[in-house]
Amino acid sequence: MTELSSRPLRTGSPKRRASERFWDDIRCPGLSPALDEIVRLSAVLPKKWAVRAYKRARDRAWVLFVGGTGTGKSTLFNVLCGSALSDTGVERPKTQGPIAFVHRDCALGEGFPFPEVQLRQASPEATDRLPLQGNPGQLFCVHHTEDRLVKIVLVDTPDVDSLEIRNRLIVEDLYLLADLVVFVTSEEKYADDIPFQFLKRILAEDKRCTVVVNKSGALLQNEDVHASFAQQGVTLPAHRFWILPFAVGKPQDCLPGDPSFRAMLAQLLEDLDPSGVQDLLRHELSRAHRELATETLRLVELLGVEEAAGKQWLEHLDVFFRSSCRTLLDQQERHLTEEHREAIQREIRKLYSRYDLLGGPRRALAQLVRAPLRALGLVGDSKSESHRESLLRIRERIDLGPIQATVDGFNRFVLEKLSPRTEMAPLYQRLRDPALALTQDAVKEIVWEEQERLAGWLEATFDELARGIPKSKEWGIYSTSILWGGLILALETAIGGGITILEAVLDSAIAPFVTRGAVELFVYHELQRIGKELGERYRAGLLAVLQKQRDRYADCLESLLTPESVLTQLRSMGRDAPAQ
Amino acid sequence: MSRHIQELRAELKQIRRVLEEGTLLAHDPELNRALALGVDEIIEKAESEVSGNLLVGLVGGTGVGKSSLTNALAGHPVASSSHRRPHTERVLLYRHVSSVLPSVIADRVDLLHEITHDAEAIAQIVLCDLPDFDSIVPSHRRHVLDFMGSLDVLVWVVTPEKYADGSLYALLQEVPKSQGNFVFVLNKADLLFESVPPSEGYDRLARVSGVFAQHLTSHGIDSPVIYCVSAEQMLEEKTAAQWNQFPLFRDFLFQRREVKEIAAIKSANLDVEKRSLLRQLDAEILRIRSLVDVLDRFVREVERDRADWVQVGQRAIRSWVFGLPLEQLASQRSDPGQTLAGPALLMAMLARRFGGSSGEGYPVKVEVAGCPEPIAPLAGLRRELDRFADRLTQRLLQAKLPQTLIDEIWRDIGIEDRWARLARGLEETTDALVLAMLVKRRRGFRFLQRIVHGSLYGLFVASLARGELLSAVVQRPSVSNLLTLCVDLLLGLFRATGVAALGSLVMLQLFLGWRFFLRHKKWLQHRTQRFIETLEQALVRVWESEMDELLTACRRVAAGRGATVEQIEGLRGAGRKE
Repeated sequence: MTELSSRPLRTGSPKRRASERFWDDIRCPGLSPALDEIVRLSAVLPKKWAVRAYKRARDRAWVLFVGGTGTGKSTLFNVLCGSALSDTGVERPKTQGPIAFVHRDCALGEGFPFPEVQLRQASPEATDRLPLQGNPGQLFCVHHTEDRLVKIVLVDTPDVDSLEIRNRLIVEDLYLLADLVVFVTSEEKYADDIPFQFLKRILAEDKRCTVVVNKSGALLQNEDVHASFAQQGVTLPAHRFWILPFAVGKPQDCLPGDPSFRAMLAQLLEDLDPSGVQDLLRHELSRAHRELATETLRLVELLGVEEAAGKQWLEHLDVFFRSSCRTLLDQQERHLTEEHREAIQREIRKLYSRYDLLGGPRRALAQLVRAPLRALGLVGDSKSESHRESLLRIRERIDLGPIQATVDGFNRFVLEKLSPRTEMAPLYQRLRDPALALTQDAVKEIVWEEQERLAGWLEATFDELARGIPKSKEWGIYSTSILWGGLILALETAIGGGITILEAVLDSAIAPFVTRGAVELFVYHELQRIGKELGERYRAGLLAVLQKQRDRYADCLESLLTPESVLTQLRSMGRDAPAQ
Repeated sequence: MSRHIQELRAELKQIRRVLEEGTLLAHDPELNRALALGVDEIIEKAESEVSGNLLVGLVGGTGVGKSSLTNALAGHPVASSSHRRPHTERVLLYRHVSSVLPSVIADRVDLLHEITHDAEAIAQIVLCDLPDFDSIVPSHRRHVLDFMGSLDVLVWVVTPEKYADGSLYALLQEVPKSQGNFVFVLNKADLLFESVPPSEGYDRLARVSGVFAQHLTSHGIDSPVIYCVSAEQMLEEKTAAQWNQFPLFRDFLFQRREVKEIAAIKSANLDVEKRSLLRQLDAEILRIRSLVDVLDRFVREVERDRADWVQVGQRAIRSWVFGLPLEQLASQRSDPGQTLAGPALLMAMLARRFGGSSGEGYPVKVEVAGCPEPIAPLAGLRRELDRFADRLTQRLLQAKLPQTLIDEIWRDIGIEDRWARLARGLEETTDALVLAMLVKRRRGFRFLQRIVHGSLYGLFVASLARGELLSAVVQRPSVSNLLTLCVDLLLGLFRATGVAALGSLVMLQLFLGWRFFLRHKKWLQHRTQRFIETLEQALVRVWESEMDELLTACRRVAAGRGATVEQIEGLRGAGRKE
């Protein structure tokens, strides 16, 4: 004879199937009050969808016995099943895990929506193992061969109110499978809050439900219970409400004789006959569909609220980012203007000097005039410096202080003003990750890198200039020099009526300065061009640190938003539910 | 009053003082107030006269039979019971006519329903039938929780159906009463014996009480005392069945207790209440420890970076001092007449006239503190202070400390005022040093100038005068010879040689005067440079000391908070059982 199989029908698979992994991508930063509801919905919706898919593939009505510990669920279950499948007794809580009474031909295993629950099978003939207490994490399936119950799965569940929290969690999950709930309470417990809240939920969700007050004394009337519930705003279904007496002795023997029990049983059998089953299934399917559509679209709506809050957050971040950039630039702009311009000016002049036709003679002349003055101590020595040296000098003198200070101020602002207030919000936790804020050393490194890049660009530019300026410019310089020289000569000739020796001598003294003037003109243009581009690059380099920090925060937020693809999928699931 | 109660009172008063000081929970005045109220309540209970009454409360879920038990204990119907649920709404007090209730209960007329008796044997006991704590009517639970504080002994009533309900164990762990004052009653034990042979009934009873005891132990109740009773059986049959432990339970409850024993029961409860109150501080203590840790680590970090911020200070101060009109100050402070003479003095006066200096008598004042925005070079110092504040705030926020606590720390450290203090310090130091800047008279230098210029004049005179006249004056000094020499000198001025000599004299005097002037300027510059160095060093010291004070303030705040926490921990730790 078959014994309780130790080989499970369905092994514990990873928490989700591949097609359901997108549920893991549902995230939110916690910037709005929607956080709690999002957490709740994203926990329960995957289960509900899995249940729906499972039930659509099968034509089975699930009847669940649900209620508080000690109310007699298992006793009733056994009477209905016709044998002691589920263990009863004075120890509480008794039922530790769900026990199903199901037709042999009914394969529950495939696609079972709770991967963490193992399905194990048993046959009623294996009496040495029955009755069962059940195991958390396992659904024991006791098989029968009664064809009239082929479309029905009867399940006895653990309690909803004992000190064993695990029990309640199992019931919460299996409840999603139920097409009909037989809610069992007792005379002692019908006004207990925790089971009452569960019943309230069943009725609010419009699940088909039969309420049984078990183990009652002779005095308890329907009105007593109805009145008690009505005071709390709950209306019990009048025609689906039964009070069963306390069965003195063996309930299996006593109960069937009780008129209330017989009436209840008759109703139940009506529920479970073929048309009744179809009606149950139809009702539950349409109810579940409505609920799923509403809740899925609600989740999408709430995620939308979070996304909008996220966008606003980014805007605030950028506003402060831009103002920090402005402050930093204002402080550092002066530094750039003073230091770099000098060095570049010197450099460009040096490079262009070769185009100064009379540069040599002029310099010699200048040396000659300066010598005695230098001896008298009236004029200082001019130092010359290579451009590499000058760039290094500039870099050494860069004050990291303002940059560090701006970054620190920015980080403080984000934590003080942009962080959610509640610790439960994911963004709250992430913003406090010590690795998120740039350290002093990281800032230094970035600034150095940018300076290197700048120096490299300057080098490249000067190299290019050194190779030679465009021919057009070269001829421009020469022609300007000649033109100006010619102009002066022409003026002298026109005014003075010719050029005397003295004038010629003077002209030759002036000439080098004329050529220098021509070069200076072109130097000025070059300086403007390079200076402008240098200014832009310098500014960008300066802001690179702040930009990097800002990007880190933006990425942090982005990583906490649900991807658009998931939202689209949820939206289509919510709208097209019946078609799936 | 017992010694134990005295010790407890002293501890509570200490806690009260700490709370009154307000430093521990200054950022959470609500919690401070709630705790202070709680402590006051316990102190009041401890100080009230031990009336010799024992308040016994029947606590349990709806439908367990508390009211039936009350009736059975009283021996006649006093409490109303019903099959309808929930039933009992108010607290029923069954007491002797003479017993006096604590005021905190007596005032709650809305909650109470009293029934008096004159049975001397049980005069000590005030029996309280409470509403349920687990029904669908939320106010019942509230009434139970309100009333619990006044009870001395708690009788937890369960039934074979409800002994594993989660709500019972949740309340058990919540109630701040001593476990030693808990009694457990399994009522409706008669149901276990119904329609079964007695042996099976006893077996069921044993199993139920065994599992019940197991549940209690796993929820922290060591060696629970459980009575298996049936109030209904007692009420109906007046004598207890063999299995019915009701008489034992009744005797236990109504036994005559010494005053000392009653005091011990009450003080055990007060102890637990005190510990439960202090547990509210647990989260706070963790927070303060975290704060102290953050402050300590931050101070160490700033100390490690000392070289950096000193350098920043040096740079900023150097830049600022460079911009100060020190040479102007120096030259204002100095009177050229002290060090220069002759042409050099003339040149100095000309330089002053045309050099654009204001020529004010009083030194230019250095303004730092009065400026709304720091002068550009000193912005670096302000920035460094701001950075300090930013980084500290960042660390505190990363440690998840509440904003109110952070604001408090800021106030204690006094970060807001630091810039003003620093600015004042810099200003005062600069003013003091500038005022002390004494300019030496360079007598030697002036003497040298006079010698040089005098010699030149002498040479001039010598070149003008004819040799024989000079020797005549030297050999035969007389007025006529001197006069002759003077006339000759004057005439010599108009000769060609005289003019040339005059020209040479003027050029040489000017040249030498110029050289002296330059030398004097260089000397001034050198002195100013030295002064600048001294000033810079002094100002950097001011900067360093301000930062050191800031760090000291942080250390002081951390130490202060740490000490308060130690104090509280000490109060909690003494004799605590986990």
